[in-house]
Amino acid sequence: MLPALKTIAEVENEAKKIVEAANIRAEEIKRKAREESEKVYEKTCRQTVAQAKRRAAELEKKTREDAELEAKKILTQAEEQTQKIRAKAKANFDAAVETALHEVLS
Amino acid sequence: MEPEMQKIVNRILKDAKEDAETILEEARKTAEATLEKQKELARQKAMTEAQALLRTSENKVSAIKETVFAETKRKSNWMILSEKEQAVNRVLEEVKARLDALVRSKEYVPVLERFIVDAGVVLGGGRLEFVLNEHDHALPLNSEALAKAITEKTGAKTQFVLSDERVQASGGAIVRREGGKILMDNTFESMLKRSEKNLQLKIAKTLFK
Repeated sequence: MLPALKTIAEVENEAKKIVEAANIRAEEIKRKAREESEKVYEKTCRQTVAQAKRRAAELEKKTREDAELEAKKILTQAEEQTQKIRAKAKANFDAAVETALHEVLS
Repeated sequence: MEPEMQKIVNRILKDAKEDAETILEEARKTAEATLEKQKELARQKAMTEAQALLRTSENKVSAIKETVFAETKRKSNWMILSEKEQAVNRVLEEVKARLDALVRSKEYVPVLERFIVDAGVVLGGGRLEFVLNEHDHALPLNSEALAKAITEKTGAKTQFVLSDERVQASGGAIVRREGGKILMDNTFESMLKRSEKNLQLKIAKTLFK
């Protein structure tokens, strides 16, 4: 064989090895990805559900806080109304007693 | 090595490296796509569960709102009603106290006589007897005048007898037909009890106007 052809054959052989190594590495990458995909699947599932749980818990917490705030407002209004009733009852006490006595005695 | 040969060698190696890089790049893309696809599948699967979770949570949230609101409204209404009830009861207590005081005053006899006459009229006159409490039994009531008043109002000749019985009441009288089957209870306690609902309404109307 001519030295030039021999050199080319050797280099082509080397090139073939480079491509073969790349193929092996590529298969390895794909195999790892397949293996990884199961874990990714599980992890993504877990994360998505966990995220939904967090959102639900936050929503419930916020709702509870808002409802308690609203409840406080309603009770404050009721307390104010109660004080007004107390004041009116005090102011009209004698008149109410007279009305009732009149009703009973007449 | 001759320059021309070196060029060829370099070219062969460069092509091989480029091919190798392309192969690796495609493998990486495939790997990435596989992972992405799995993630998407997982997201879709988990989303069903997540949506169910959120739906449950939304129901829970509605229940929390309704429960807290209903309980607060109930408590608030109770506070207001309780305050009104207490105020009305205070008036009723005062009314009872005033009636007790009336019994010991000089204005009482005409009131008692009126109660007796009213009861006699309701019973339609005739032979009647009236029952009083221990205290009132000693009062100077004019049975004949009472009977006359009833006779005038009913047109039925009325005779009145004071019973030897005693009624357990703070004031007022029980009037009954002779024989005791039909009676009109005009004691303070009975009158208050009979008109309790009406009194509560009138008191409330006056108190909270």
